[in-house]
Amino acid sequence: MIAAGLILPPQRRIASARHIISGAIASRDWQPQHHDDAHARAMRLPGVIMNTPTQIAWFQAYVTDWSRAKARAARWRLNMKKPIVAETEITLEGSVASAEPMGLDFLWVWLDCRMLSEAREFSVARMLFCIARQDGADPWALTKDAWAPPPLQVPAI
Amino acid sequence: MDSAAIPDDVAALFGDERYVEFSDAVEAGAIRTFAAAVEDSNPAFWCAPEAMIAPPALLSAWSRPLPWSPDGSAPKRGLELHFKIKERLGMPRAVVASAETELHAPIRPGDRVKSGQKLLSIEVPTETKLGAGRYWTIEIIYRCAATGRLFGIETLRFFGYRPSEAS
Repeated sequence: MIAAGLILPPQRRIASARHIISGAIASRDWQPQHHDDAHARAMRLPGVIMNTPTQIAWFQAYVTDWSRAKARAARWRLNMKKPIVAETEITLEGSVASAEPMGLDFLWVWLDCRMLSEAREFSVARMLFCIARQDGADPWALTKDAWAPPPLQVPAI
Repeated sequence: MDSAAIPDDVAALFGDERYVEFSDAVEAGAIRTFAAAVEDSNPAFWCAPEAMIAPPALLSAWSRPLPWSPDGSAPKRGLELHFKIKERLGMPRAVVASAETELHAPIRPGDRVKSGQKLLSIEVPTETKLGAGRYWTIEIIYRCAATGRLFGIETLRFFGYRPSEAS
């Protein structure tokens, strides 16, 4: 049962140069700090860094891998605390901050997730998902009028 | 001029939506390429194009122009409003400090996305480990080019800075 306080199982990933560069290019992000190591270092960064869409996608894949049921992202806030560079071993962690029903078929679920490496927080995200409560329910099929995500209730991060 | 003051030409950027862009039609190959790059097995990104949905994290991609043009003209820059502010404030470097997004209608293959940029705030100068600079916040609004249906709104807070000598 999804309820406040539920802890998601952690997931480990190693950020490779391919993840960083292909994530940036596939999101049409041509900024050189995402593919040009010398440029990134001239910016006082430790190397090419993972871009915003890639980090969000990692967080969202972590949630949808966990939820199993159909889940639709509604809102998110990402706070990038440290640059993620190649060969960083990342642990994704998450917990349910709150949950409330949306009719019989869906649940609004607020999640707090973070990417850690060597016990240091690199990135944190508060996300709101609409998750199906039963087989056959599809949050992506909700009509424009039925899709009304509540506020993100951003915590101090 | 007081270093905390906002130059008139930067203050003039507040208000209207600017730098409107129209994407090419969203297509299944772009969706799968991103899903593969981030290793997301969500079936919504791998099914037949008729049922496919673009990854929500890919929203900002539809506002970014290509980096090269065959006619030799200078390529447009994504987030032009951000770069204008960065240049006019004299900040050679900038990073995204936080990003907040709200999603409305899903984007599907065949949709063309219209985006526009709005300046919301410019904060007072501050000092961080990266150097001396200031934060500013921009909103990017994404709509269906054909119908005007709202796809999403992205709010980005940047930190623009001059790298410190000591670092």
